[in-house]
Amino acid sequence: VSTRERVRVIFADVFDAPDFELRDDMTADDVEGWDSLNHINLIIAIENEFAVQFEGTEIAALANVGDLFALLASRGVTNGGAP
Amino acid sequence: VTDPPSSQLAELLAYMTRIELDPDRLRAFLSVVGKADAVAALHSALDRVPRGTRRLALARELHAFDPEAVEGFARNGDDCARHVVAEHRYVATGDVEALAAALRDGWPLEPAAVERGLQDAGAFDATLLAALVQKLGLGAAGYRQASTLAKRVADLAPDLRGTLAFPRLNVALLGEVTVDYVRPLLEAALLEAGILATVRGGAFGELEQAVLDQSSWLAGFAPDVVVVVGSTLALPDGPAREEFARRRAELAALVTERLGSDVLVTNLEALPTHTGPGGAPAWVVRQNALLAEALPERAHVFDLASLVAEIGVDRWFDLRLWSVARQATALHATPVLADRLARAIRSLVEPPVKLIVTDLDNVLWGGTVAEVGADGVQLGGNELGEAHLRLQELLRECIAMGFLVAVCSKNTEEAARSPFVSRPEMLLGLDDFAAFEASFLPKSVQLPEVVERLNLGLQSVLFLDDEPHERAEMRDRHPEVRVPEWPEDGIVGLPTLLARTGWLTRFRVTAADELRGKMVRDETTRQTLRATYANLGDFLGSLDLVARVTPIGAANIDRVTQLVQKTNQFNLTTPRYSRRELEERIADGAYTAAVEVEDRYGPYGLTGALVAGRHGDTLAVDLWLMSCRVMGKTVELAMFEHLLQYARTAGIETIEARYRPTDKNGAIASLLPDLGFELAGEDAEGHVYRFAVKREALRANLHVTLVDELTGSPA
Repeated sequence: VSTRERVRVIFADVFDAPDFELRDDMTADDVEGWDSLNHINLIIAIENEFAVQFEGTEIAALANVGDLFALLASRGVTNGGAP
Repeated sequence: VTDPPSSQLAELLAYMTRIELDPDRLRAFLSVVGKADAVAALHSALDRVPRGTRRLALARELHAFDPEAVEGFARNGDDCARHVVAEHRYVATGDVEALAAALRDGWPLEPAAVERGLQDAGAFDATLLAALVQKLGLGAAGYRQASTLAKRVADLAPDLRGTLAFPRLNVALLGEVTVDYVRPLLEAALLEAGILATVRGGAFGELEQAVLDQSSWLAGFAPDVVVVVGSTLALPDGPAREEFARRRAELAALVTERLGSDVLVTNLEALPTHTGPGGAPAWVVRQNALLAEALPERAHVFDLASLVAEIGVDRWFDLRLWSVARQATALHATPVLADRLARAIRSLVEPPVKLIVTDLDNVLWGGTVAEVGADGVQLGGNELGEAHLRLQELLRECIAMGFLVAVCSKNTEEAARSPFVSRPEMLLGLDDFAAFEASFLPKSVQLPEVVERLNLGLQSVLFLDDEPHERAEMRDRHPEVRVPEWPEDGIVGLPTLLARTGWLTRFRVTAADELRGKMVRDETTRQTLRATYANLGDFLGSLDLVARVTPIGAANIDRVTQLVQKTNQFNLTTPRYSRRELEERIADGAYTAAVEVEDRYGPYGLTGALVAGRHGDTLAVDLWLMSCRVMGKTVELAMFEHLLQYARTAGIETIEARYRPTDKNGAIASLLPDLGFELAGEDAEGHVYRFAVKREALRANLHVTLVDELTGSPA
């Protein structure tokens, strides 16, 4: 399973939408229910999924989904597939 | 590391299962070895791991590879395996009967079955739904799993939730920290605790304002319980720290006055920086002590400090979340926080425990006093013995707090009292107990009498017993009695488990309580138990007791030999036959009977044996014994009935039996006369009794269905 799909499943889970479609330019404003509460839920679930840790400032600075993949890449998790 | 041989995998797995069993690690381990190795390793581990949640976890893993094997275990009476088969069957097929069976047997339900259950719940009746929601297992779940379960619970249709016969409660969370993460979990945890609650939370930092503002969400909500959730993280350096307890007490007073609610207030937890050799700063310690004293009537401390100590500071906090979202705990700590808050809230609204009823053997001391004598029971000396003393210590503290403690024991009065009299190590004395019941009556019959005599209700009782059958019987007969499940590490874990239930914390001692406890204990003329045999007959009749009689033979002779060697209480002449001697009696054509007993709470196994030799038209009973686990259930009448039927068909005129008194078998001194035997004399072997076969036996008192395995039908 690709990194992108694993992230998509987490979004689907958090927003309770099995067919969730993930786009790089997607921001919190584009998704119903993506509030500060679910933002943390997403980040913690992604940390657990890929066994990585982000810093508080990094979490606060994320602007869109693309940033999230960039942040994952900075921890060695690339789009290619499972590390 | 790279390619270990199977035998070493099995060793490694067995080793893992001895220390702890983290399901994720177990799965990771199994996923890197081949299927054959995984199956072999699991089989080998199952050979060594006894009944308990570790065995359950292993059986679940094995089921994924080899379901037939697990079904085989289940058929052989392994109840962990039976549970796994039932829950898997439900997940795979939606068979509601299987779910009901898995909910009945006391084992935790696997998350997949819980989730499917919540989805199918529309078709359930209220009893099944109630059983399901009380098995959510939130306290032990990870955050993600707990959140999913909480979502499913919240999604249950309102009219479906309405069918639950649970008390309704409005709970408000006032947070000096974010309460958004714990709120949905708390609602689910309360449902698991048997409370249908609506939980609402305010914005963080909104405390006094919410209470004072008549138009706030809080005023319209009319909460029954208000929880003030804080954290040491929320107290900045400065004078506010020294104001903490006073400010909380004032807030609590405001809440009880304005809203009429009960209040729980979290105290100050140690932060990661407070856990070096210096410990927590003086102001934290001081404010916690002040808080406990300053809270008004109807406001109680929720001891967050001890919860964080229990879980561990390093696991509890995720300081990034504090910075980003004013969330004071790591998300994975929220399920256990919700679970403990739910228990604390429940203890505010349920009737308080006032009476602790305890068993004796293997609870207050180690061993069976009727078997080993007062000098032989274990008190101190090793880990187990010390655990029994630790429990006695806890009960003494409870007595000091105003709880009443009583004994219900299946023993003779004399045996039950003896360790209190002759063992100086005992911390509890006979005059500590409000009541002391020792008899072979069922405990569900004993208990109401005790409770009535003490002028209490069954809803005030906490019942301690190490025997699963006794607990199941009590829960079934008197659902209002609180019956804690026995911990897997047995008596060693019991005092801690009792502390965590929350049942022994709420009780506030008043002068009247103390006095009452003392008055009850001083009562010198103890009324003896009125043996309510009408109740007893009803009770035994409803147990669906079945006694299966088979001849002693290859299939059961090992177990019979074991019983012959160790049974002391119900044993007419206590002959210690060896296996070979038994085999000789079988070869001689003697009447032999081995009895397996079962009731609606499950099997007791092979628990009785009788051997009688024929001499002309007389049948002489040489051996008659029963395990004390089935005493008081009229199984002896069923055994006698079977013997009598044999005697009639075999043309026997007289049955002869002896009673040889020992230190241990006083409880059956009147067995033979009670059955209708007449005393014929005495010889070196004991008192000789005879029974004329033409006479009718006491069939009316038989509450056991007798099944003769030779014919396969009720005899």
